[in-house]
Amino acid sequence: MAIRTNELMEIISERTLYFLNDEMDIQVEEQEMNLVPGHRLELYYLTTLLTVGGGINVNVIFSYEQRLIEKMFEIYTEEVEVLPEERLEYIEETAGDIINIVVGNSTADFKELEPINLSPPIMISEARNIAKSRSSEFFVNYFHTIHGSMSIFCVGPKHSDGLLDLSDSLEFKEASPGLEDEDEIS
Amino acid sequence: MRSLNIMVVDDSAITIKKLTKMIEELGHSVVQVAKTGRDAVEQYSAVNPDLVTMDITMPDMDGIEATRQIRAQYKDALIIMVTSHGQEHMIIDAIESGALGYVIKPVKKEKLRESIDRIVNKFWNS
Repeated sequence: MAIRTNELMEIISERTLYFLNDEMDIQVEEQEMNLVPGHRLELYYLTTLLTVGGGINVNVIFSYEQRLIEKMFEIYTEEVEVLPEERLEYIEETAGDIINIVVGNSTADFKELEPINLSPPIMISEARNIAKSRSSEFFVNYFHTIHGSMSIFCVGPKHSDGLLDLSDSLEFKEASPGLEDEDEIS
Repeated sequence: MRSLNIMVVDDSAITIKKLTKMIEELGHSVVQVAKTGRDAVEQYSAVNPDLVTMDITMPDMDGIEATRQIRAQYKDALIIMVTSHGQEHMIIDAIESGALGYVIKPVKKEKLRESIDRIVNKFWNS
């Protein structure tokens, strides 16, 4: 089964837009969707990663500016008590819940695909960038709001026909916090 | 409807807090919380809840397998899937594992109430 990377990106982006507008009441002022040039992409303050597996094999990454994820945390937890000592942990939990909800809800639109499963989300704080292998490609969509920006990346194997063969495995490299832009873990 | 003793299974601490608040506002009690499917299976027999809300995507053991194992031991267990996963295949898998209801996250209190009422009315009054 194959799906175009940009189609996958559009499904997840549409669900993200809906979540921001309808669940968070945060209006997106501008969007930019691109195929990432080069082999490295920059991350914001807090990043979450979730692997879509089963009948599909793609890494989905949400990365947030600090002020945006803090605003989303305030909205997401406004009905429950959060103790001051829980705040940092719960900001990360908020980011994990959001990627889980958005990508999970997106699976309703993957009608022709085989059964797919989602990994529990991984939270990455203070990472500055990630690097891809030659055999993978990044698609990115930036959402800019009055409360800050976030980026969504779909990382999958690169194919010359523009399709992701979703049975392929994916090489994924992550830069460690504190490394300079030129440094790379291989 | 009488007040139910409910077990909440989810790996997100915020979701547990949000679900607990909704469940209490609906007049029920959360008597046990589990953060993995394996914990849910182990704790079910000790608590014997009236109803379980079960996430699907969890570390250790997912909610589909946990539901299957609980229902294998307790055929009358009432389990509602509360998950973000909306793919039709997954909903079918959940029902085949023994789940009696399916609520998509983000959870709304009224949706949760409808699902609880429907299942309790169907299986307790039949």
